[in-house]
Amino acid sequence: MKARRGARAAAVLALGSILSGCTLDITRVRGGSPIKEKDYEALSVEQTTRADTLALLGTPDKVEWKLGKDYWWYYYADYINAGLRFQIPPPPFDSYSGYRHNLLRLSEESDAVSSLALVFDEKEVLLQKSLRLSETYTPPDPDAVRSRFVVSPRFDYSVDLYGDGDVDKFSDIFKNGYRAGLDFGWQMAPVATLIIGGSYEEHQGDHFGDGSGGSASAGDLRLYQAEIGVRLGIPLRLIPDILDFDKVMRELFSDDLRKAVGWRLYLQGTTGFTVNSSVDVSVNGVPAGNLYGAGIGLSGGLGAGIEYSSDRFSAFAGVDYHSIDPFNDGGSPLEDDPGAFQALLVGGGVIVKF
Amino acid sequence: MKRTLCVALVFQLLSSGCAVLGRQQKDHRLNPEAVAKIQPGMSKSQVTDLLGAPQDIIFSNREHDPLREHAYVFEHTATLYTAIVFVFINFGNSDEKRDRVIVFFDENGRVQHVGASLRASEASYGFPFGA
Repeated sequence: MKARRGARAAAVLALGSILSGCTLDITRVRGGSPIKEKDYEALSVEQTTRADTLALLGTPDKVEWKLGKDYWWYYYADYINAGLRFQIPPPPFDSYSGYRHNLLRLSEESDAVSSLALVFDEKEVLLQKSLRLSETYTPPDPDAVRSRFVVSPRFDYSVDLYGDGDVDKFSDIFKNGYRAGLDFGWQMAPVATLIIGGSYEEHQGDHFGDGSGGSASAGDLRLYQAEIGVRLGIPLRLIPDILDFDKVMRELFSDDLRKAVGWRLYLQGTTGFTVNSSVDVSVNGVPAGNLYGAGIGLSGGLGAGIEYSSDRFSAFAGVDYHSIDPFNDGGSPLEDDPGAFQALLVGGGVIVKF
Repeated sequence: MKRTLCVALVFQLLSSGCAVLGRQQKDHRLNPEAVAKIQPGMSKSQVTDLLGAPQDIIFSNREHDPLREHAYVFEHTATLYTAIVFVFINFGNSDEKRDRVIVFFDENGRVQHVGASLRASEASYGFPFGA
């Protein structure tokens, strides 16, 4: 039994270390103003003048004048840098392993720059033109749906509790319980939704050892959470091409929400605060005050799962790991200086978009 | 859209203290009214009186007058950074836009054309998604 508990504790510790030591950074870099294909088509060799071009495209980003000819370039850069970093020890401690992305580093700057080059003769008339659009360029769609508000009720059931409740483990002090919540969100791109929501979570108290040979029983734990976060939805059809960075960037840069349909993997991160109720405790059947006092603490969660989306409706199912700062000391005679309360929840919900 | 984003960012900042907004500016700002006053036929000194010293001078590089000043370039760059930290996933966004004015001179040193793209104020905070 002890060996099994030790193995489980080691697994939880390892999982926690990996999760808290791994950081995924996604940074988008934009420089200059987009080059429009229709503007390029409006330039006519041997007709368009330098003044016409200035009026149409504005000032070039680079100008050279050589042997009487004007060489102009217009540039627009739009690319994603993505990197995965494993830090030892995990944040908030100083890293011994540095702060560079050490597991994955992707940058495609050179392929993600659009450029337009023009040559004018001594009479200031366009002699030559050329255009290279980034591989990730897609013509803008005037009918694109660019943002939507969403409402998402969800229900989860905890399958395991983690953390040291001081007098005993949380998984012995409380039974697995349920969580019901409602999220509101703003879908700003097919792959990303900003969410703000609240939930109610309840765990019935259980019987446990009081640490001195007797038995104790805890009252129910009630948690009220308010959190904000981001939900990423990655189309399953993209998974086989995940290393095709141009394809991935086209998906990330798309602003047409009508494309957010079909089967998708979702990843959700939230942070906020949780209010916990006080928890009564009885020792050998005699009330002994509160095991934990009511209070408020920071909390955070990481969820992942699968969802199916139509234009206006989604359904999802997945797992969610949630952690809450240590509860307050309740003043009972038992040891009641706990660590963070953590729960692994399984559940699902629906999303209505309007 | 921008208002919603600002509200969301402020809420995030207050609730967990892990959103960062940054701004970086390079070179002097260009005054649109001064730029509008530059007209064909003006001298170089009139141009520099209005806009100050250029950041760059493009020379003709021609065989007979290689050091003739072909164009003056005036530039101001604004970059807005957004960083949002969600425990395991961090999002960053950098948007750089420029005010750029190029004044072309003829062989007599008079203004021939003016090109002005004043877009520094179009730089925006944002997320790394969408168009």
